Amino acid sequence: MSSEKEKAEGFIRHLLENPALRNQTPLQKEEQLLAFLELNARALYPTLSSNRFFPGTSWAHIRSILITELFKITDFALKGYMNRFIVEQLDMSFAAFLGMPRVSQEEMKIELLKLTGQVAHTGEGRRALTGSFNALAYRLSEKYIEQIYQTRNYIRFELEKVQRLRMSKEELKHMLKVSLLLRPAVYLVSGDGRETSSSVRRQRGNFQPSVADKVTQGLAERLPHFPEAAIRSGVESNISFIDNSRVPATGRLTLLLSSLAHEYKPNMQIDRGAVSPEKSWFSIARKNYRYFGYDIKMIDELFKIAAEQGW
Amino acid sequence: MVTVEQGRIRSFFEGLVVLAIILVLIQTFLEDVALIGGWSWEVRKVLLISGFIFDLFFTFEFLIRFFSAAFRREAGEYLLHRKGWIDLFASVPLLLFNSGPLMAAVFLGGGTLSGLGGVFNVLKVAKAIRVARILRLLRVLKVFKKIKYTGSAMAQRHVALITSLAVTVTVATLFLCTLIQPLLPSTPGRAEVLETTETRLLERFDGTDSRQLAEALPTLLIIKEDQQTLYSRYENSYYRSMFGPTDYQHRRIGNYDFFLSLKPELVDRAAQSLAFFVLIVLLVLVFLLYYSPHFALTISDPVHIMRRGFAESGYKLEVEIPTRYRNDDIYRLAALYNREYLPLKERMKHQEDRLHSDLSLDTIGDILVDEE
Repeated sequence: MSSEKEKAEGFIRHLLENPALRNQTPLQKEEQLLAFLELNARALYPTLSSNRFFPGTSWAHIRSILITELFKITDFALKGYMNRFIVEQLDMSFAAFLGMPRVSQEEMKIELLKLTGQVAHTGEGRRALTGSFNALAYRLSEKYIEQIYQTRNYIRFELEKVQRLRMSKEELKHMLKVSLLLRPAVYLVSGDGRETSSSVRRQRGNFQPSVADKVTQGLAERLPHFPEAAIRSGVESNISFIDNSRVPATGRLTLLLSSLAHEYKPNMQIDRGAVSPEKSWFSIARKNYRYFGYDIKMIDELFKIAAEQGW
Repeated sequence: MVTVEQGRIRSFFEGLVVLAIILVLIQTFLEDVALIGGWSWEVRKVLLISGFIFDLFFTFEFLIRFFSAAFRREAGEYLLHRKGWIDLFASVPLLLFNSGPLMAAVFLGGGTLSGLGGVFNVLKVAKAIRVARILRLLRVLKVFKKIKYTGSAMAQRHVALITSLAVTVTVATLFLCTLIQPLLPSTPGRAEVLETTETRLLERFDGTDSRQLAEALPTLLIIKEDQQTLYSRYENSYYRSMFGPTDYQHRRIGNYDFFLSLKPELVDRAAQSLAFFVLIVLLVLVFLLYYSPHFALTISDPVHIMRRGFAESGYKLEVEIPTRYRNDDIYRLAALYNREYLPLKERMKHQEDRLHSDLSLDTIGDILVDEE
C-alpha cells in the first residue's frame, strides 16, 4: 500500500511541477489537477493501470488514491501559508473600530485558523476558498484599496459614509482580508466533509438574506471574538447585490475580488492586441453583473482603476 | 515520408540558398557601386565572376527543384504556387543572357576586341534581364517570419503576396520598358545624338591632330594606325588596371582604329539600375516593416485572440478595439465577441460548472510515451 502511495505522490508531484502550473497557488493547482484527471481519465487509465503504476486497479480506485495524495500535498502547502499569513501578517486591530476594543488578536487568529482549516475540508468550501486564497496570495485587496483611497469615488464613499468604516486604509485592507477568508465559511453550516454534493452546490446560487442571518449567527458562535460586522461582510458577500441592496460595501468588494482571483494567473502572457487580464475581467463582469449579483458601480470604478494601471 | 536525416539536409540546403540570395543581392548592389565608384577592373572582375557563380548555382537549384517537382507531378504547382516562377526568371535567363556572355567577354581577353561591339549589344539586353535578380528578394521573405508581428501564417501569406505583386510589377515594367524602348519610333535621344556626333568626328579624322580630336571626344582612349599608336589618353598600366573587355569599344574607320570608353554609358546605366534596386529594396522593407505589423495588429492579432477565446475555455481576454479602426469589419466582430460571447461563455461556464485545465496530455508525454 505504501508503494501505491509513493507512486501516487510521485505522479501528482510530477504533474504539479508542470510549467503550465508555474506561479499558481496550491488551491489553483489542485483545481487544475482535479479537472485534468477528470477530463483525461480515459487517456490516463492505460498508463496508470500499467505495471509502472497501479496494475489491475479500477479507475475509481486510482482516482481516489491520486486525489488523496493531491489533497495531502495541497493541505500541507495551504496550512503552511495560512499559518504564516494569519499569525504573522494579519492585523486584527480593525476589530476595535467595529465595537470590540478589548478583543485579543491571538484569540481571533486561533479562531480564524481553525475555521479556515475546517472550510478547507468541505468540498464546496475548499473550492470557494480558492478565490479568497488567491486574492490574498496575489495581494489584490492591497493594490485595489490603495487605488480606491486615491481616487475617492463611489467605493470609498460606500465604505466610509454608508458602511461607516472610518478606519485607516491599512485597517480596512486587513478587514477585507478577513472578509475574504470568511466568505467560504458559509459552506460550513451545512458542510459534510469533502463531499461536493449537489445540494450544497445549489445552496450557493440560492443564498438568501434570511439564510445569511442564520449563517452569520452560526459563525458568530464559532468565532466569539470576532465583530459581527466582519462576519456579516464575509457571509453576505455570497448574497446577490441585485437581490439585496443592503449587502455591505466590504461584502460586495469581497465578492468581486474573490471572483476576480478565482482563475487569476499572475505574470500571464498577454497576447498582442488583447485587453489586460483584470480590465478584461471587469469588462465581462460588467455585462454579467445581474447574473452574478455584482455591484455595477463598483465594477465601473474597479474597471477604470485596472485600465489606468494597466492591470 | 521525410526522415530526420533528409529533413536536416533539406534544412541545410534551404539555409544555403537563403545565404546565397542575400549574398547575390549584395553582389548585385556592389557591381553597380563598383562602376559608379570607379573601382579597379580586378575588383569588378571578381564581382562579375561571383555573379556568374551565383547564377550557375541558382540555375542548378532551379533545375533540381523543377525536376524534383516534375518527378512528383507537381511541376505546375511548383512554378505557379511555390514561387517557382521566381526561381526560373532569376536563374536561367540571367545565366544565358547576362553573366554567361559577360564571362565570355571577360575571358576573351583585351586583345580580341573586334567582337565586343556585338557583345555590348547583348549586354544592353542583359542589363534589362539583370533586374530579375532583385526578384530573388522575394525568396528571402521567409527569413522575415521571425520578425516581430509576423508570427501569423495568414499575415505572412498576405504580406508575401502583396510584396511579390509590387516587386514583380515594378521589375516587369522596368524590364519591358528597357526592351521595348529601342523599338519605339521617337526623336533621337541624348545618347543617339552623342553617338552621331562621335561618328562624324571620327570620320573627319585625317591623322594630323589627334590631341584636338581627343579634347573634343572625352570617350576617346586610343587612336592607332597600322598598329602604331597615334594617341593614348592614359598609360598602358592604367588601362590594365581600370579597363575590362566590356568597358571599351573598338571602331575601325578608314585606316584608323579608335578605342572608345564605354564607361560613361555604363555608369549611367549602373546609376539607373542602383536606383531601381534601392527602390525595390525600400518597397520590400516598407511592406515588411510597416505594412506587415499593421496587418498583424489590425487583422491577424484580433483573429488570434478570438480564436483562442473560442477554443480555450479558460481564455477570456477581450480584444482591444482601437477607436480609429472601430468600424472595420474585424473590430465590429471583435466588439460582438467582447460584448456577447465572452460574457455568455462566463455564464455558461458557471452554470454548467465546466471543467478546465491548463495541463494537457501533450505536456506530460514523458510519462505516457512508454505505454503507447
